[in-house]
Amino acid sequence: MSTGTLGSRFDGYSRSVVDYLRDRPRLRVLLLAGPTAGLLIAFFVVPLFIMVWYAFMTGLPPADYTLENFLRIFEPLYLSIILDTLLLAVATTVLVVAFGYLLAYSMVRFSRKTTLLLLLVILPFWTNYIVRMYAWINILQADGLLNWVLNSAGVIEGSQRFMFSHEAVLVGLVYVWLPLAVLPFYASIKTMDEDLIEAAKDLGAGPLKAFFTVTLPMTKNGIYAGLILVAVPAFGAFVTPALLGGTGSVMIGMVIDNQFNQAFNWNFGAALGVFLSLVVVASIMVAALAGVEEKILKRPGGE
Amino acid sequence: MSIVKVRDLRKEFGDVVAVEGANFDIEEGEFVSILGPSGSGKSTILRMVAGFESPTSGSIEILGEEVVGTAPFERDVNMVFQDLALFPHLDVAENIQYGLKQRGVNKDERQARTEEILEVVDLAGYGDRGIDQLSGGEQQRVALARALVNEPSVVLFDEPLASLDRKLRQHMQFELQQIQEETGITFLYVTHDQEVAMSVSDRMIVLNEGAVEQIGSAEEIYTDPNSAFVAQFIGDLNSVRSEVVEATEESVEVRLNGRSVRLPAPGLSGSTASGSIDVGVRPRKVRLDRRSSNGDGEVFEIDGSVQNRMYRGDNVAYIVDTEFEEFLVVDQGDSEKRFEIGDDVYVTWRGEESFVFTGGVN
Repeated sequence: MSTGTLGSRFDGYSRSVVDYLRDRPRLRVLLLAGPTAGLLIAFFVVPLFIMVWYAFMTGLPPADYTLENFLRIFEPLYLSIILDTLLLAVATTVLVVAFGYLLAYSMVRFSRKTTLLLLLVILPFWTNYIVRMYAWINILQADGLLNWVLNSAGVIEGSQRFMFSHEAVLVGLVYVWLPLAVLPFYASIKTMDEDLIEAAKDLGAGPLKAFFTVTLPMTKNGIYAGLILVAVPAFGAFVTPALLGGTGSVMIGMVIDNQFNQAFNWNFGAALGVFLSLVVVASIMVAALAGVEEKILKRPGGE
Repeated sequence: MSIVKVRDLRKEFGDVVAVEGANFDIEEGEFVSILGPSGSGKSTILRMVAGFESPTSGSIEILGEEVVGTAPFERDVNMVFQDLALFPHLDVAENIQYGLKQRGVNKDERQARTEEILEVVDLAGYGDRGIDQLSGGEQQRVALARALVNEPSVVLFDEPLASLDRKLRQHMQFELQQIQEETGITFLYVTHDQEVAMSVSDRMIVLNEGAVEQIGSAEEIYTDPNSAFVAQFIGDLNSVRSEVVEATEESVEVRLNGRSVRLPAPGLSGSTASGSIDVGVRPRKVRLDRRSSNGDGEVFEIDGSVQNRMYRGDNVAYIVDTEFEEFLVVDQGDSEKRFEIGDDVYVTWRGEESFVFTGGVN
């Protein structure tokens, strides 16, 4: 009995709340978007500003303001590390896009067990990142699996050093980011209308021609998505190069990590972070603008 | 010489026989439809001609050359796809030029031919539009132009008009016919829509469950269907099971509702010397009367009552319930007789205007 009245009283309250909100669209938007926006501000925008703020100071606040931290980035030591990082990130991206596209394409077109394959591709994500890196250390190290296999096959003699090199880091990065790129590739190839390929072949295009004139341009949005998903984190990577590259292959992410955790020079670390973020944002914007411009310019004239 | 020659064409998908021994020829400049219900194998035949499916057995010759085993891009045919399959990343002119480009036609000629074909399909000046800026009808024309511009031996159509609304579809049918006459290119058109097939094609190939039932002009097939399936698929049909009294070389005498009527039925004897057969009649050939007529051995008559009356503009259709079957009767409106639901009527039709089928009607 009492629950009945409680229930109906609750109904009454909720009805009046609904009525109250119905006439206040702004309040409604605030209630819906507020928590997310708050979360973003607290954990993304504010830390970002703190980092930018630190980047312009000589020490932890209170301290003097300076540009010294940014000027230091342009010392040859750091510039060469940034260049190395850039090359590694580009190499990683190229390899991931090439392998990932090939993998996604064959999964969609040549396989019936697509779902199972997709699961296998995502499976490594269920394992800890560090564990996967140690697995690679096991494979690459002096008495590791790769050495054993190559020795058994007679390709090399004696123990070879694979670890602590650019190549080792590259292998690690490609391995880590491949699944991430396969997903957007897979989605774009899967949703592409297969009739378009038939149409191309019907009109006289061989398989390769059909691929380059139809499939590739039709899936380019997926390629861009995968490209950005890989290029950005590869550029900022620090765990993989630390474990597989060590001092043999220093990436800029490791330098930043060092500045915060070992050198305790938070200001220089922050400046490096801000600088890298700007580089990434700027290059994405340039790419996007170039793409948009191509579209605008292309339309009226045709070809 | 035949443009396309199909012999004993058979296609199996696992246990399913999609096409069972199809034979037909298509002559130069013809507009031929392959007509059949969904699942009858018509698209499969088209796709085998295009080269997207390979036959289990049989042969397909295009311009006298065997094409089974060659790839689609090696065949001198072009297809207008059901969903058109226009390239969304290319504009209208680029879509049309795609085929010419693959064949290595130089740029000046490509452009000249594109403009020419845009004129033919009534889209002059549309070259630099994007595909998504076009209406459904315009997209149809681009798809047609993309096939026609290559001047193939035959253009294949896989029901491209199916998605259009009735009015536009009729308009496009008409245009398709005009363009076909204008260009003289051979068309092979697949559809399940008998109205489209009848109005556009010189000849129709009627398919049922993978087998060719009949080949002929629309008129031949409508007036002289050689199976109950064809009669029912091409137009409406009333059909009643009747008892065979006597069958000879030229005719058969059947008894229905107590009346014996002799029908012309050459070549029927022997197979159905006794038992029963189906007598079919087109709705327009059936008359309704309030009074019983005298039989004189030429007219069928069944009594029933009007169950439904549908006013359809050009005519009035009645559904009449009888003790045998329901009859569809189409009245041309010329008669001043008007029947209401529940009226008792006599359904009559002349024996010589009937079809007889032994196979049964489903």
